[in-house]
Amino acid sequence: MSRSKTLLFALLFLLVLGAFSVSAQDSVNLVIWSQDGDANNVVLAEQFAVWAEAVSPGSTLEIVQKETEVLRNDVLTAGLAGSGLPDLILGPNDAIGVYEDAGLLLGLDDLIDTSMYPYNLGAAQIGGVTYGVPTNAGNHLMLMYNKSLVAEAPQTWEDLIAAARAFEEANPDLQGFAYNLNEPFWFLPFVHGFGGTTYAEDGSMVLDSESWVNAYQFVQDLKFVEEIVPEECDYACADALFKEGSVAMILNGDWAIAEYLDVEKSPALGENLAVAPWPVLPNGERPKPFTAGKFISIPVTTADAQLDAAVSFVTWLTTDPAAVEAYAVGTGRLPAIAAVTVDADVDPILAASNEALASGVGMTSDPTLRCMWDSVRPNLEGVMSNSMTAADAAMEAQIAAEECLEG
Amino acid sequence: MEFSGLSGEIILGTLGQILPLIIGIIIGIIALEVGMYLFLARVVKTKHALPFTLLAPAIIAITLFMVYPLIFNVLLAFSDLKRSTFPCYSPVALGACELDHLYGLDYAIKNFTDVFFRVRDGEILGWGRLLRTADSTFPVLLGRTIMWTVANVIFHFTIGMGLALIMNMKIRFKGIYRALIVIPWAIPGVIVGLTWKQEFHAQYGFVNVLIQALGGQAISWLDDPAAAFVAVVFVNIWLGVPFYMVMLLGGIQSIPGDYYEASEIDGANAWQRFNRITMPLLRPIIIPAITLDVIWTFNRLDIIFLITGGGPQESTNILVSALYNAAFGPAATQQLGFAAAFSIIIFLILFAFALVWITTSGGLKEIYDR
Repeated sequence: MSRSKTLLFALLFLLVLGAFSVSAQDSVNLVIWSQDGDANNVVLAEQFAVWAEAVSPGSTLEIVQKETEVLRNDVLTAGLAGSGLPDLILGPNDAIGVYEDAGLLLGLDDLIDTSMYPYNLGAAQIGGVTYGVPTNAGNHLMLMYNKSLVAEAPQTWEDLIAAARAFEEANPDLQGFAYNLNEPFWFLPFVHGFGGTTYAEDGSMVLDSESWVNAYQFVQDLKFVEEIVPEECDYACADALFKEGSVAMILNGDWAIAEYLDVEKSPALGENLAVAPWPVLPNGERPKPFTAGKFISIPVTTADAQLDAAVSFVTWLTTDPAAVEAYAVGTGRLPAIAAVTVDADVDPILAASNEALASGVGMTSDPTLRCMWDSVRPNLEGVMSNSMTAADAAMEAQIAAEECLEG
Repeated sequence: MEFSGLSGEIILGTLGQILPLIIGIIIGIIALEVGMYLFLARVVKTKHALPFTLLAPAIIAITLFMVYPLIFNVLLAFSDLKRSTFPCYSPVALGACELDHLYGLDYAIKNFTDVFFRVRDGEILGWGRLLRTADSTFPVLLGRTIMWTVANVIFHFTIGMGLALIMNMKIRFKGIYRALIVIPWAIPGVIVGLTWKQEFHAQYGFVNVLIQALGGQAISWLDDPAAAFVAVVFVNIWLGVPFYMVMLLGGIQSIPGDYYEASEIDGANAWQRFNRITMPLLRPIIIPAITLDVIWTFNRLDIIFLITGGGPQESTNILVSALYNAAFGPAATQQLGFAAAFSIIIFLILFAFALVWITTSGGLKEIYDR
């Protein structure tokens, strides 16, 4: 055998040997698919490191970040294939109903003491079975403003309109107020504020009522009568404008707080960030954002040592007071257990977020809720482009939802 | 404690997971090839042992990645696979399966019918909605898909041909122009979509800034259905032109200059030279290019998905975006059986087009004549 061939075989042998030696592990390697942003995932990794050091030295957590829709589709696709599911899933509660309907989640009641979660566990329960435990309470929208641009939070929508106009008059190149105009998640708080709901008492879906029409009319007027929102604005638009200091006030969720406090990512914010509850509507009510929080679920394929480690870590992360507090402070989100409270002197942002949460409406994980989101979206777009009346939008959404529910 | 995204340790770890697989595949292929050659040469004793052996990897790859998915898609069309029936089809999903059979003609009939009609209790109630709005029916979406395809292909061809003719002229800095024109082709579709989405923003986008600078009025590109459709068509035209320019320029440059010189001596003008020499000789390139372009454009989902998401009011959706929505859309119903049937209908439409177009245009005549 020539010298070069000998070297080649030696190299191949070493590569194979090296590969096997790297992949061999004594401790548990957990994989979590997370819908959270990078800043919050770093906090999760830090917390895992604390847990692993104390409970399972050498264990690792691989965090795979996935956008909401991608996460849902990937879980369903892997579930159908029967392989490739992660050990843990972290995401909003409304996807839990979808996963449960597909039979892809383990019931947690026999694995975790669910009595430790007094607040929002119902958002992850279906048919009396718990399919996720909350990492935080909230996931709620609130008013966020830049203190260097607007001195204090408007108390009513009349105040907000006046403040936005005054700001734009003084700063013609900047925007007073912006939000994700065509996204139903931002629209539902108005519906709730006008007294509307998604489901009637008998469980049927009601998207065509006076409350819904009033809400459509209100957001249409904000754009075309009051003219205080940009002509077009989605999440990226409002988020980018706010981070760079080009808009004074926005509506956004608690998931964004950690990034807004980070001056490297949000140069115009940091200490200038302030949050407040939604301003009061002309009918005297506050818009009520959907609330639930992010939940950790365990797929059906997690078993044996992986399952033991997953349960141990999740229980510790969501119930140990020190861990819950560290995770809450790190992510800028509210804790989901009663043992940890928010002190306004210690963290005014979290305290204000807590105040905003108080006016929220719990979001069900019933998968039929997706028919509401899907049916409202095109009609809200029609209202926001002034090509549909509020009444027509409500009527069309109702028809679309009924067809969706028929399957 | 510090955390990093892509450290040396992570790269090594990942390589450690991937390398055995790659080495295994390589060793497996070599063993299979050697085994197959020995079997064909010594047991079967065919004189074609070497060609068969060399063709085997390609045949296996085509079977695995093209034939099998195609057959699987047809099988799916005969199923009632959707999110709520996952426990019947998934090997891991929990819960009771309420179907008495997994595949059957009854499911196929329902899946194919649902693409066109709204059926309740065996009665056809009218055209079915493929999305949520009232006009998201099959005929409406097919009409819009044809408009989208025709508009794109016409502009791709005419602009591509014009640029190819210009690039064939003796002009300075030709290489720079050619590189600039080809740039859209080199940029990943995701980046193109997201970039153009921002440029079409009514208030902050470059397009409206330009229109206003020229004295025009700002347009709500992403809020107005007609404007949104124009926006997505424009971006796809911008993306598709380089393909034609490269193909046609190659064809034009392969036409011998003698033909043009002879025709000039005979007194032919520029239009006559183009119409009587360039076009006929480019035919073997134009026909396949248009065929491919029609198929690609008809099935092009990413630009619409990234710029408008099918909106506003679902007005920029075409057949494939409705198909994607049924399988993986926000309603999360995962109607995979229905989507498979829908995809077969789209395939049949394109197959019929290709058959008629290639036959009537004589695009493959030269190949058959050889």
